[in-house]
Amino acid sequence: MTKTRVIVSGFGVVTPYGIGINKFKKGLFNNSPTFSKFKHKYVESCEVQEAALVNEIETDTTESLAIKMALIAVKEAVDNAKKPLLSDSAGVFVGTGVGCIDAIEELFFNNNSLSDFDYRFGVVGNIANAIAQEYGISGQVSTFSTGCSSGNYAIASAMSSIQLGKIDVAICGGVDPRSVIAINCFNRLGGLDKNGIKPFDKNRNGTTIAEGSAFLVLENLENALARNINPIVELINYGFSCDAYNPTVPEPTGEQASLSIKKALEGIDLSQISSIFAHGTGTKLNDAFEAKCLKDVLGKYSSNVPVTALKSLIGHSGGASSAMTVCSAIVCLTENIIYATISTKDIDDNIDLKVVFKNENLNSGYSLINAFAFGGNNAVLLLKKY
Amino acid sequence: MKVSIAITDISILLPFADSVSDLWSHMQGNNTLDEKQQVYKINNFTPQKYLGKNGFKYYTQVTRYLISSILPLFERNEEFFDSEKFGIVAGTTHSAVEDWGVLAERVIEGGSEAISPMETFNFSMNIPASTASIRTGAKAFNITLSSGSGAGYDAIGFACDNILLNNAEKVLACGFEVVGDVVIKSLFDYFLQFNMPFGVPVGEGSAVLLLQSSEHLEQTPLGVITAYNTGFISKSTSNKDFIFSEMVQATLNDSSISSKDIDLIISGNVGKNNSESNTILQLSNNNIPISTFKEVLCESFSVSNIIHIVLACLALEGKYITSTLELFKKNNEQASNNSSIKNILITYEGDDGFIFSTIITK
Repeated sequence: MTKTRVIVSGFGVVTPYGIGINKFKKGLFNNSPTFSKFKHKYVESCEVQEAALVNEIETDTTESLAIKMALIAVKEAVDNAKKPLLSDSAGVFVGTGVGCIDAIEELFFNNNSLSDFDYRFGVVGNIANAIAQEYGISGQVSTFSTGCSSGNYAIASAMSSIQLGKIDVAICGGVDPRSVIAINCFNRLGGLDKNGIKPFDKNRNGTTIAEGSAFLVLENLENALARNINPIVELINYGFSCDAYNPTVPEPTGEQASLSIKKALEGIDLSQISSIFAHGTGTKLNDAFEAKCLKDVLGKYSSNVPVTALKSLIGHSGGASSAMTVCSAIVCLTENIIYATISTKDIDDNIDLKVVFKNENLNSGYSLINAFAFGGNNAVLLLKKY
Repeated sequence: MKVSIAITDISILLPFADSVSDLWSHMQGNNTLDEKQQVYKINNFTPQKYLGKNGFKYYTQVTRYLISSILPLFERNEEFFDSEKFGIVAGTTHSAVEDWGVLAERVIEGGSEAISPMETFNFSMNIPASTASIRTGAKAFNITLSSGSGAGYDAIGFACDNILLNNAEKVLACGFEVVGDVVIKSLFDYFLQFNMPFGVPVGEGSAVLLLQSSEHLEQTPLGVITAYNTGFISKSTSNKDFIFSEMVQATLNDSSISSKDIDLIISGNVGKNNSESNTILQLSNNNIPISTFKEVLCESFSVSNIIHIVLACLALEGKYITSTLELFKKNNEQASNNSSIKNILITYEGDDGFIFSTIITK
């Protein structure tokens, strides 16, 4: 049976560069850093307080930043997709690591209760519900949480729903807001680099917390062409797997993570891979593990294909990070340039990857988007310029 | 699309029962809930009973609840599981909020250093499902779905989709909730405002279904899912009834049956006049008995979603009770009860907009 082809017809972001794709593109290709101090009374005890935050959006205690960031990115994606039909044949798929934790942190740390926030249905599903409400969507509305791979899971599941014929159009992506609790946990875990994230660097020492949102409009190809849309990128495949090993530590052989890459690459000639958008968290263990998995699956090609890590520029936005990486890959595929991994200066001797130190021309081919999360949740996407 | 997904085992942990036979005894006992008691918790929960003497010390309560229903089911079926083709999807409405409450207390008391190293990952909502995969070796995927009031139904949908897509052969579709201080505090305004925000008391616990393709079964299935659909009704939508009835009709069509073939409707309704009740009363036309359950089992959110399917499996054995809710009284007085149930329609409409319907057949 021939699989339904699924394309991206629109995308939108809210990143530490600001609102929208144009600022994102400019920031990526100018290699602009974004880190600043996370100012909050209950972050002061953290040794590392650096974070990549979105400063353009103001919220008061009646709003959730997560919902606001999601709605802004979705609007850009929908406008960009020239307003696809969003009704019973459309669905919403949101990936998030901590959902509207900002709303409940108001309750915890400031004893404020958000007046427009209905706690009855949890503090996580409200993001997807808000998107569905905004666009009158009456198809599937789902919220995925697999830690830092949540965005990729949401996008892959949206693709599956289109291929199963359940919907024609999907709004999908990821969002995570700043979280006092999360930065305290990462700090206690020793997972933050006080000098900022340096993926794959010899001197890497942890990640940098971030926030933001990134959303796509996916459509089945026929649907898009019937609307006279020029598809931007085609979503080719995905691979899921789980380590079943440890809540925070990846399984050392990388067998399962490698399997998720293999699944995404099923039927693809490895010589046709033109770029790898790494998960690249900047922690000692994770980057070495990711490099090993890429080497195991790609063999000789792993040292020739350009690899970049978005987190070096805009930090680690948890459940939004993989969706943001997808959006960054789309920007690269449309401009035929791959952005640099800016903070990385000296590659770890044990990492045999061609990490991009300055912006490079990008050849046509397939782009791999890795996401490996807490709990050994692996989700890998494969894209190609349409 | 017609499907054939078998339900081959069930495990539950509720305030009233930790086995299906206890659940049925409770249902038969016509135990109405004390509405003055707005929250029913699992009293005297002893994790050792479900998790063994070791291995749970650092689990949070949500993780303990989830694993307490997963492990007994896993142990009963271990010989049939192929790790690589075995996945876990856990629905939860309130997810990790109680764990976030604990972590916030630590931070307020003593900053980052007050968090124990074994608690540092509990901010991530997927830790209970990840722990379940570690305990059971499930390697196809472990996912948490926190899709509002229908998170458990969404877990069932995800499980079925991924069995159809061959991403897994066997999937545990779960629901889990802890109603602790944070959830109660968060809901408090609503309790004051509405007395009971859900119409019935709130409960907690966990429930698990073992789902697999009905081809090549090792066991006799308890029931078979032949169609399932989810959707969403926006608050501003004017044609709510149309959207709900269209979803139910699509589910009947997918299952290749008509309303005449339905022997029983099990509804998540708590006596509220809404699109769901309008649709099922019209569909029944006083001929099909309607069963409801939250008035005797609480609103346990994602757990109730899974229990809904458990009750369908019991009904296929002739074990069901018709609704005593006033809304369905006339229908149930006229509809004749049938001890030979073959096709069951399950329906749900949440106040947040989540809607679901499925057909469970013998």
